[in-house]
Amino acid sequence: MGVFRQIGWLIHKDLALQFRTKEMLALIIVFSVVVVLIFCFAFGPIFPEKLEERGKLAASVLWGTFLFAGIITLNRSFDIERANGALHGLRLTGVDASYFYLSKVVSIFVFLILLEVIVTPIALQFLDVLTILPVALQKELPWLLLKLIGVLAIGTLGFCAVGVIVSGISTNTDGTESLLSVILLPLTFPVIMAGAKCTVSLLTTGGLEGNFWISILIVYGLIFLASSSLLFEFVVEG
Amino acid sequence: MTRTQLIGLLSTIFLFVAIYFIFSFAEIEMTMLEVQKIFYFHISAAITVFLAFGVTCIFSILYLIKRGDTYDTIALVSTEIGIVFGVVVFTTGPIWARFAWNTWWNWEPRLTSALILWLTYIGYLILRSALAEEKKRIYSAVLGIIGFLNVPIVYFSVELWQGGLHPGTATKMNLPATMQTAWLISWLALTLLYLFLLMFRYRAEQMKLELGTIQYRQMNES
Amino acid sequence: MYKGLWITVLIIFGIFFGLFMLSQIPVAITQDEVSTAVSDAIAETDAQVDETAVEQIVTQKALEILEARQKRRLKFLVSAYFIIWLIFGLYVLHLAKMQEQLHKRIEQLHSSLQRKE
Repeated sequence: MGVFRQIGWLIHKDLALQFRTKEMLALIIVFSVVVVLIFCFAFGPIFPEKLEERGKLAASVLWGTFLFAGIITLNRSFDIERANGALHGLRLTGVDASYFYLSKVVSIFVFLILLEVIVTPIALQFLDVLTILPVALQKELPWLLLKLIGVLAIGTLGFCAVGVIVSGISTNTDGTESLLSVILLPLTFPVIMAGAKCTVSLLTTGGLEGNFWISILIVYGLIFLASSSLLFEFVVEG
Repeated sequence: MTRTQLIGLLSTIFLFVAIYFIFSFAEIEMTMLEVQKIFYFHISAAITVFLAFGVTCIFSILYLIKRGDTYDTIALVSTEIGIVFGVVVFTTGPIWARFAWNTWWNWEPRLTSALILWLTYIGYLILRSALAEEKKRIYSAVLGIIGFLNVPIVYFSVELWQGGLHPGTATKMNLPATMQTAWLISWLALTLLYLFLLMFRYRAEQMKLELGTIQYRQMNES
Repeated sequence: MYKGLWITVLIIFGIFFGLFMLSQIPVAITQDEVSTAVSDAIAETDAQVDETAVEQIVTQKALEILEARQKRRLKFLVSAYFIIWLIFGLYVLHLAKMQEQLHKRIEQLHSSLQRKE
């Protein structure tokens, strides 16, 4: 069986599990919207006048929300694996650990991107960012949203790269949920910093001022994808 | 005299020498006057934090390759001591900041990256205490490696995040010779202290192991 | 061993602060500085004043201000070094206590094992 077919099958399995019950997606979407609303109630109803300030607000709301949603998704995903000893069964089939890791990253990534595509416009509307944008940016709003989703996607990939291996570890303990956040959140600080800067500059100028922050996001993703796919073997074995 | 005691004695002597050099030998800095003398131990402790977690990372890698329990124990012990040195950094830092900038905290890049690293390795210790005996070695080794991989990324992003290079980087290079000497000696003293604590703490871990085997023997006999 | 460490840590603390106090920097303002400042000031005004009396008062005031400032600085310095010592000292004592307890427990088990044999 070819490498890609194996990974393809694993992704297929994960996505099938995640989307079999629509409840999960619905739950996470509702959760994210509620978190956005919490920020709105805390800051609103009159948001900062200056575009840059409002951009910062939007960036912190978006990244904070997706981080929390990501942690819930990771927990849920590994709960399923653990519940019936599925991880153990999978190992017996002789699938390489790194394939399993990559498939898990991809499936969670797809799930979170779907969530982000739905929640981002809602959040931007609630925070009243769209009306305050410069005219030039308002004309090409879909293009701007696409770029925003692109940045979110790169950040999310980095988050998933670290998140999958850390939840692979923490799923073996009792206090899974709180433990996952305590270990994972400090590791994702660079993603938050870089992602938020990119988001702010996208919302204020429509471009990425210098490519520094986006390259931090990309490098972060690559480093952790590479190292974790090597290290995941030990997580599965343990 | 055992090796541990020797290192302990050496580190104590060097601590005294460092104190002497800091308070008598090094010249007084003109903007912060006496308060600047916090700098020597603060920076040295911060460097030792990075050293300690670097050791954790290296021994975690060694554990995954060679699977000797010794490597894992050293990684654990080094993490714990790194946390202790971190406490020193994060208590003296605010005292300095309060005097120099009238605030308890500032987002100096090295301080911030040390804080993030520190939090990561607190996670490492929490994870270790939550895992079952047979699993914790491999898992914590994996986390020990991942946590340290984060350091360069964190460092670069924090540096740019707080708006370009901090003057701190430049002033450190231009220290007068007397200050440089005092700083080097206190750095050496704290590194020796780290080494001593490492060996001292390692012995406790060995005793725990010994206790385990004796208890096992007793259980088998009764 | 445990008791010995307690004493060692306390002695180190004592010497530490002894050295610290010995190496304290004295507040100094030279007579020349005061005199030049005072004569400069007097030269600028027309008022008739007793120069030596003014000099004395100025010296005293200057010393008071400088000492108060130094007191504040030393407070920061002493608290920082006190905390450093406290953290390391407590950690070493904690380790010593841990080893002591482990040692006791091992001895106990050893002796009970020997009795059985």
